[in-house]
Amino acid sequence: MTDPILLAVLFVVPLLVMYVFGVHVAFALGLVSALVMLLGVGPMWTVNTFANQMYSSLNSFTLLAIPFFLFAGRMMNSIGLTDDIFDFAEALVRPLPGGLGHVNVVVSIIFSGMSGAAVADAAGLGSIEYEAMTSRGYDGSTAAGITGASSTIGPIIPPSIPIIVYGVTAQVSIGALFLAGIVPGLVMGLGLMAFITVGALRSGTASVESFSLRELFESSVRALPGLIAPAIIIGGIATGLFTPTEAAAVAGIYAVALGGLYYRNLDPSTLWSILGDTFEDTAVLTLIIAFANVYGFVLTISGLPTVLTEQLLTISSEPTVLLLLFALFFLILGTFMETIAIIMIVVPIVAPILPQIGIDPIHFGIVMMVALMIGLISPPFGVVLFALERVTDLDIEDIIRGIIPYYVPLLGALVLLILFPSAVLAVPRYFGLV
Amino acid sequence: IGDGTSGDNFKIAATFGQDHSQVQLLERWGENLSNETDGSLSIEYVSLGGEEDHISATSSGSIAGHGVAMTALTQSYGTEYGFLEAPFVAEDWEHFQALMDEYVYGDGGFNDQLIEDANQRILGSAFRGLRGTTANKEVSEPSDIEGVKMRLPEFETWVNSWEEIGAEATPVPYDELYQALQTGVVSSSEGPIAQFVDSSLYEVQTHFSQTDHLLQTQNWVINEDRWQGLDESEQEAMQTALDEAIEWGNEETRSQADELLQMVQDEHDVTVVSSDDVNQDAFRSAAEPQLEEFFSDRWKPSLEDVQSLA
Amino acid sequence: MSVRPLLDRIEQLLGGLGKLTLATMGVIVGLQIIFRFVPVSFPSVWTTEVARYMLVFMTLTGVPYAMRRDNHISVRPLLRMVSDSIRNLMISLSNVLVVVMCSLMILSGFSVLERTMLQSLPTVGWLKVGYLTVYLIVVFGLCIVFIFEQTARIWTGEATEPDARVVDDD
Ligand code: NA
Ligand code: NA
Repeated sequence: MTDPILLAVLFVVPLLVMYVFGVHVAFALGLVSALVMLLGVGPMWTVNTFANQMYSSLNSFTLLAIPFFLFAGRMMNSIGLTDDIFDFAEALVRPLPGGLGHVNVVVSIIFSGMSGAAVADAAGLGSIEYEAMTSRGYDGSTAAGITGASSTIGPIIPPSIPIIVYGVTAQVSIGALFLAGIVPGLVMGLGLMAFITVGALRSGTASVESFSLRELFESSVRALPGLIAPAIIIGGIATGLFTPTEAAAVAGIYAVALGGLYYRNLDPSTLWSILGDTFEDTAVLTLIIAFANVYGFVLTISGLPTVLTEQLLTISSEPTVLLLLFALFFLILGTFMETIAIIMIVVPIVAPILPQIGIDPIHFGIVMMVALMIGLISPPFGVVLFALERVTDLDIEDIIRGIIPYYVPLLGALVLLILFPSAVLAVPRYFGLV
Repeated sequence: IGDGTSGDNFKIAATFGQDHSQVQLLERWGENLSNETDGSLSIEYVSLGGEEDHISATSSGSIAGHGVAMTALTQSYGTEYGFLEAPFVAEDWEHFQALMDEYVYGDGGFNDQLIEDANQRILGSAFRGLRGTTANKEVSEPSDIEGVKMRLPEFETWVNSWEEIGAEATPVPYDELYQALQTGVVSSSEGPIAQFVDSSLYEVQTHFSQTDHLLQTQNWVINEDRWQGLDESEQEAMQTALDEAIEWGNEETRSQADELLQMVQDEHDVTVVSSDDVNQDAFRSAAEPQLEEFFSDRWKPSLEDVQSLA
Repeated sequence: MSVRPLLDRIEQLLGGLGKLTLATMGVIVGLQIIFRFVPVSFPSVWTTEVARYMLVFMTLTGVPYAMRRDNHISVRPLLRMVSDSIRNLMISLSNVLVVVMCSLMILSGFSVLERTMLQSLPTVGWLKVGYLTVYLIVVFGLCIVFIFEQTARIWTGEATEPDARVVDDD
C-alpha cells in the first residue's frame, strides 16, 4: 500500500501550488482529484466520477438553506432592518469593552437554534453582522474574524444536522447529543466574548461612552420588527410550523414582506439585484462544495482517512491523550473535507472501540463536532472562509488574518471540553439520557 | 492501496457502519470467500457515502461492488421493476424470492438490464427487515392513520399508496426527521425498527406498529468486468460464499429486530403493536386501487401475476 | 471583434435565468410549508425534489456567469507581488488549467448522458436527471469561451487587475 505520508503530500501540495497560481479554488479541487485518480492511487480513473459527484452532492435539501439565508441576509441589510437591530444592540452594549463584537457572538448564539449548518450561518448571518460592524467603524478584518469564529457555534447548539448524522452513525441518542451540545456551545460563546473584552481593554479601544436609557428605548421601538424575526423563525421551528431548512426560506420571505409593507423601501429593481447577488454567491459557493465532494470521494477511496484513523487508535490508550489527538486530526481533516463525509467515514471505525478505551460516545461526538467546526474556519481550505469572502468586500487573506486570533478562545474551549467530560455530559445526565 | 480492479481484493461498499448486521454479513461473505479460495480472493468493506455514489463507483470500477436497496437500483435502471420494493406488494420473504427469480434473474429480466446499463449485476439479496409505522398512537387499522401527517421518503409509489389509505404524506428529509417528529411538523413516520432505534425516534414517538407494509432488502451487487474476470470456480466460490452469508445474516437480522423491539419496550417505554394485532389485509386492500394503477401504468407484470406468485 | 456583444447577451441571459430560478425555489419551499397546513388534493412531496433539482440547475447557471464576471473565488496573494508580465503569465497558465477542468467536466457529462437520460426524479417522472447533464455540458462549454475571452483581454491590455472585483453592491 502507498505510504500515507506520500499520499497526504499528493493530496495537499498540488492544491497549494494551484492556489498560488491563482487557479479558482473549486477548479483546483477538481484538478487534484483528477490528478490523484490518474496516478492510480485513489479510485480507478473514470471521467464520469465528476458529473456523478456533481449531481449527487448538489442535489441536497440541506444545501438549499444556503441561498435562502444569503438572500435573507442581503435583504435585511438592504431594507435597513439590520441597522435598526444593531443600533439597538449598540445602545445596549455601549459601556461594554468590545461593543458590537459581543453582539456578533450573541446573535450567533440566538440564531444557533435556527440552523444546523455553519456555512449557511456564516453566509446569511455573516453578511448582516459584518455589514453592521463595519458601518459602525469596526475594522473589516476584525469584523470578519469575529463573524467567522462565532459561526462555529451554530451546529454545536441544537438543532444540528452534523450532530444528527453523528447520532445515527454512532447509534447514540440524538436527544442526549442535543442536550450535550448546549453547554459547549455556550462555553465557546463565552470564551469568544471574554477574548473580545480582553482585546478591547488591551488595545485601548474600549468604549467610554455612557449608557443612555432614552436612546435604548427609542432604538428598541425602531428595531421591534427586526427583533420579531428570530422569534418567528425560532418559534416556528420549535412549534413545528417548519423545519430548520425551511426556516431559511421563511426568513427571506419575512424580509421581503417587511421591506414591502413596513419599511416601504423595497423596489423591484433592488429585489432583482439582490436575487442576482444571491444567485451568483450561491453558485460560487456550492460549486466549491461540489468539487470538495469529488475531492473527498477520491480521498476516501484512497484509504487515507481510514488508515490515519486506525493508526491514531494505536498511538495511545489514554482517553485524554487520544481525544486530544483525534481533535487535532479532525481539525486538520475538517479543513479538507466536508463535515458530513468525515463523520460517515471516521465514526464507523472509531465508535465500536470507544467503550473499550473508556471514552463516552456522546463526549467524543461533541468534541468531534467542535473540532470539525474549527476546521471549517481554518486556512487555507475552510469553506466558511470562502463563504465570508463572498459576503464581505475582503480578500481571503484579510479574512484569514482576522480569524487567526480567535483560535485562542476556540481552541481553549476545545481543550476544556476534552479535559472536563462533565461539561459535555452533565446536562444529558441530569435528564437521565446518559 | 489498490485501484479496485487489480489483484484479488474486492472493495465492497455499504452505507452502514462497521457493526451493522449488513456489514457483518459482508465480512462473513469475505471470510467464507477467503476460506473457499485459500485466501486468493478477499473482500474489504469500504464506506464512501450515499447509494448513488456507490452505484456510480461500481459502474466505473472504482470499487468492486456494493450493497444497496432495491429501490435505488430500479429508480435509475428499471422503473418497470419498481414493484419489487413497493409497499403492500411482496407479502413475505418467500414471495419476494419468487418475484426475484421471475423478474430479476430470469431471461431478459432486471439483472440483464442492470448489466447492460450500469455494468453491474445483483449476486444476491439479503433480508433487511419489515417496515413498521411510528406514531403517538396505535396504528392497527387504516382509519388510525386517516388525516395523520406522515413522513415518507420521496418515492412516488410509497407516497401515493399511503395517501390512498388516507395519510397526509409530508416531505421531510431524513436528516430532519427526528426534529420534525419532535416539534410536530409530522406526527408519524414509517421505517424498520432499526431506523427507529438508530435515529432515536423512541425519544419522540410512543408507538411502533408492525404494519409490515414493506419488505426491505439489501442487494449485493458486483461490477460486471470484475465478475467476468473470475473463472468459473471462482464465480462459484463467490456465489456460495455470499449465499451462506445471506442465510446467516437473515437469521441475524430477524433476531436483532426481535431484540430491538424488546429493547424499546423495556428501556424506552415504547408500545409495540405486534403484527398479529395489525389488520394488514385491510391496509393492503385500502392501497389496492393505487397499486392497480401503478401496475397497469408503469410496472412490468400485472397485479394478478404478482399475487399469483405469493 | 464582434463577439463581445453576443457574450454580453449570454451573460445577461444567464443572470436572468439564475434569478428566476432562485425566486421560484423560494416560492416552492413556501408552498411546501403551506401545503402542510392547507389540505390539497394532490401529493405535495414533489416540492423538495423540484427545489433540489432547481438548486443544481441554478448552480450550473452561475458557473459561467461568475466566470465571465471574474467572481469565482481564488487565493491570489502572490499575484499582487509580481510584475505585470509575470502576473499575466501566471493567470494564463491558471486559465489553461481551468480549461482542462472544464473539458473534463464536458467529457464527464457525455459519459453519463445516456444513463442519466433514463433516470427520472422519483415523484416527477417527466423531469430527467439527463436534462441537467446536457446543461452541464453547455455551461462548462461556455466557461471555456469566457476564459478565452478573458485571456485575450489580459494580453491585449484591456483588463488591468486580475482580481478586480465588479463592485455590485446596491
Ligand atoms: Na456571529
Ligand atoms: Na444549531
